[in-house]
Amino acid sequence: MADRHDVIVVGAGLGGVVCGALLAKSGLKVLVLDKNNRVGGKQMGISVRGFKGEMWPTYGIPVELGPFVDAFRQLGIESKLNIMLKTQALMYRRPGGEWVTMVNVAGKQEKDPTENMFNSWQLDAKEREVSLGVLAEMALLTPEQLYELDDVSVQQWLAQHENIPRPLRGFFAVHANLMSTGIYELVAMSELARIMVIFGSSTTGYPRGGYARLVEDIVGVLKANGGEVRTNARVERILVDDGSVTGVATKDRVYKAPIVVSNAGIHPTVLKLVGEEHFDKGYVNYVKDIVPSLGFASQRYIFSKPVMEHGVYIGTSEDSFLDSERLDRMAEGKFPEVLSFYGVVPSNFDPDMAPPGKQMLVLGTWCSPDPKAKEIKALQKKVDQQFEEMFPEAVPYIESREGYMGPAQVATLSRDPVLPGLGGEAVGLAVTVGYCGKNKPLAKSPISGLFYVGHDAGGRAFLGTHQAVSSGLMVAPLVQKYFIERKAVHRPQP
Amino acid sequence: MADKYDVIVVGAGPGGVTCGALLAKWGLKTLVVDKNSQVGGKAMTLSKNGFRYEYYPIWPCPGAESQIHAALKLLGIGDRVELIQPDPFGLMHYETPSGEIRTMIMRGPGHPMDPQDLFKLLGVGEADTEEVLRLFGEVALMAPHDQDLLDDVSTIEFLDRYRIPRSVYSFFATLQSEGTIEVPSDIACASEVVKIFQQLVTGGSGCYPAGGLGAMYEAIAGAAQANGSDILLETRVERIAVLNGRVGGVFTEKGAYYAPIVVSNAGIQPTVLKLVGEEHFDKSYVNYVRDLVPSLGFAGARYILNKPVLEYPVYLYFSDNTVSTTDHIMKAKSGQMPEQIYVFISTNSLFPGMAPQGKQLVHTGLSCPADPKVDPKTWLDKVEAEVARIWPDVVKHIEEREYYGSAHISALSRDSVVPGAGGECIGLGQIVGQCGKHKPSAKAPIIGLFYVGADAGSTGFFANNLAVASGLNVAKMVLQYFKTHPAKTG
Repeated sequence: MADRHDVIVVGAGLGGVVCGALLAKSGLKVLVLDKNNRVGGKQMGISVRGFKGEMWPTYGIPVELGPFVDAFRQLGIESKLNIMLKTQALMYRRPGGEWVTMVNVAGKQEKDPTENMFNSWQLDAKEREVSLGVLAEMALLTPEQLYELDDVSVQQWLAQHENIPRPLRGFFAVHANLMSTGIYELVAMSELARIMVIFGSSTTGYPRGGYARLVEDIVGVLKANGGEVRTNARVERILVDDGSVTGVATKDRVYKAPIVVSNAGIHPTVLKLVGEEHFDKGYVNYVKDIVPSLGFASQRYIFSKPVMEHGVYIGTSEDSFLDSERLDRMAEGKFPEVLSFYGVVPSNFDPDMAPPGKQMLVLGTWCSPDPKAKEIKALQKKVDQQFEEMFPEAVPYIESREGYMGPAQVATLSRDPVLPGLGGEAVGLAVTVGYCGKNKPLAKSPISGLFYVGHDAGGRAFLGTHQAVSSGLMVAPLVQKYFIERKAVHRPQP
Repeated sequence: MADKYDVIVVGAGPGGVTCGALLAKWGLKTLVVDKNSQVGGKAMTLSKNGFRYEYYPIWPCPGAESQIHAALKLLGIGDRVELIQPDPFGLMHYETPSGEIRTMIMRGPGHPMDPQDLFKLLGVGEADTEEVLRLFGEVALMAPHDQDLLDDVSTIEFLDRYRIPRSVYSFFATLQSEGTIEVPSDIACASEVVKIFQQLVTGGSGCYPAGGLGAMYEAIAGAAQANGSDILLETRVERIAVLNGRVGGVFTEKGAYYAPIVVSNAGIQPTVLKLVGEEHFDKSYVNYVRDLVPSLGFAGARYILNKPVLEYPVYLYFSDNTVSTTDHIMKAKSGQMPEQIYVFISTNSLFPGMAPQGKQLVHTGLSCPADPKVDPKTWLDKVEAEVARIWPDVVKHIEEREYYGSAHISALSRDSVVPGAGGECIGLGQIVGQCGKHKPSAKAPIIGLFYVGADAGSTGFFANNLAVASGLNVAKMVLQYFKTHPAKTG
């Protein structure tokens, strides 16, 4: 029977392909199905007129540790992971309106890493002492304390300290948006602390050839081990019989397998692909209630000459973070005075990512995850304005502005909207209190043989892409053991 | 006999009878019901032609500080059940890659093994000594927190963390996974294996109750009766009665008995899917229960020898190639038996009153699928061929053979309600995902329903000790529950 597989992975996002490749390598017959015409999910590569990159600014792979390194090592392609380094511009807008830039040189350890930051924040001696104390406390949190902090938001944690300088609060709040892709008062302190400690202690960069190359290398291992990937194959239904998975159905065919790993998001998997009727009411309510991450609005600038000097641009102020109140106001078209922004210039890491003498900047900011959000166009216009104010010297060389993407495009590309206000989340479910660390949804669903992979379940603290890869790394052994346990000891052979 | 009780225990296996006896001792009006004519479940002791023996080769527990010791003490019958500690315990045979069979004496409880003897058996050279000692040291001294981290790690994955010679690897993977918990080593839960190894280090290799395992469980049942408990044998429970999510009692072929608490020793799958019925549970719980993986089954033989051949109670044989994995089980299912297998022979005839003069009963056997529908012939043929090769004297003196497989185990103990399951020899498999923190809760999601036995309520022990540990733990849970949930009247 040609269409019988050991495992079907629904969705070829980073979590899906890592999980699929690891399972194929361990000897299982794996099929990966994806609705798009290319693999990679939200990290799908783009290639336009010789410019290559991602649809949104993506960056930040630690060179020596972390899930990408682990995944490539486990897949036996460690030598293919080539992380390129470049300077990062950390831009800070002082309350008076002045932008100051701090440049991080990758791989170069500063003597006093907080010195420049505190200078740009213009802290006095007392404020420096407080800030240093708070940052040190975060860096030295023990595993037991971090476990407790799964239940404490960044905002609550900061509130336990006295006399927090406004710039420090702004720093934590904006990083809750930036690193954990959630709103300030909900992101769990445990996750943010773990991520910031990793970033504080390792050099990070951008992969040679972009994220598309990473995905391609991973899929290469999948195929070399007998796995198969089919694109343009939208799974319409995950088939369940008597509480157990039996396969999936696309529009025109049925694929059989005793195990399905869904990279389609926990909401669409439960509420649409499997269907509520197969679950307990309590579980359906739980799934419906899971808090999504923020969305992201992105755009690309093509320059006729290399005007952007650094690899990464991150802009913040003490008051540019998003909390739920600001998100509500954004929906009414009232934006913060300064937007946090995040931009990546792929060709500054890997020159092959742009035609010679030209440059592309992928730039954007955080927003609502609602695919129907009406404020996105205006928000992107404000990003344009802010860019023009901050980089007037680059403006004359803008050849084109294009690739305006927001939650509506994310939803089309990745998870299907199944609940009002959801679908366009930039990373999946948020790492908010109640949904991360020890409270992360279980990767094993209550249907026998059904697992989730990707940002929504199974992963450990890290940025979006890393969380997905980490989930792939964690879910693959779970699935592999599940498979051999049932096949050999339990289920009679067909 | 009354028909109203505080608690009814379904099944008088080691877990059920221990739990029932403790609850009776603590003042609850208790009924224990079993379909068989004797207590002890899979560990019952039979009397036939002057022999007293168990159906299967079972070694109950470490020599000291076991859960069985603790239960007997709690019941106040520690002095009435003699736990014999044979010394030497037996012989361990290791076949080298060149085909030489080396032998080491296994000392009884209270005589710690000299690592040098084991190193000699396994041919551990000086270059490997440090790493082998690191493995044994770390396993023997591992703290509970570090053990918990191994709940998600298989025995093989754990052993792969050490650069040890293949012989040591096989010693550990063969004897500590298939040999003690009846699951293949690639899915055997490393935390279980570590905990059990520590018990063997502390308590020694084993003990055997005078008069047989069944006699010990009869003594426990006797303690139950002395404390006012009723024991009802030859009575099959057909249904556990549940109304509005609450247990009401049991229906048997001989009538109904009522109690606000039912403790089922019938296995978690038969309890949920048959005795109570799926309709009383959430879908996810039914899926979860149906998906639990059983331990392996067992295919074995009892040989009656016309003269005493074995000098010690237990003989083990392994080589570098006897590490059982799921792959081996699957191949064996399709008729391709691995060339070398883990084999052992044992006898209880050396103990007083267990065999007629001049004869010996020898147990041998091999793990096989738990599916009662699998024909055990492939396994039985292989075992007998290996016994003939390794212990030719035994085979020369066989005057009678009795064979059995997973179907026999299922008939004696749990009903087969899930395809492929029923003949498991321990119950729920001690595999990754089902042990330690992942062990099923002993409290069912039905008011007043608990499970006892190998399936729930204890983790980190082997065989009978696991079931008795569950009996102890569940009895405490039920007592608490009884005190805090006064039975509804009317």
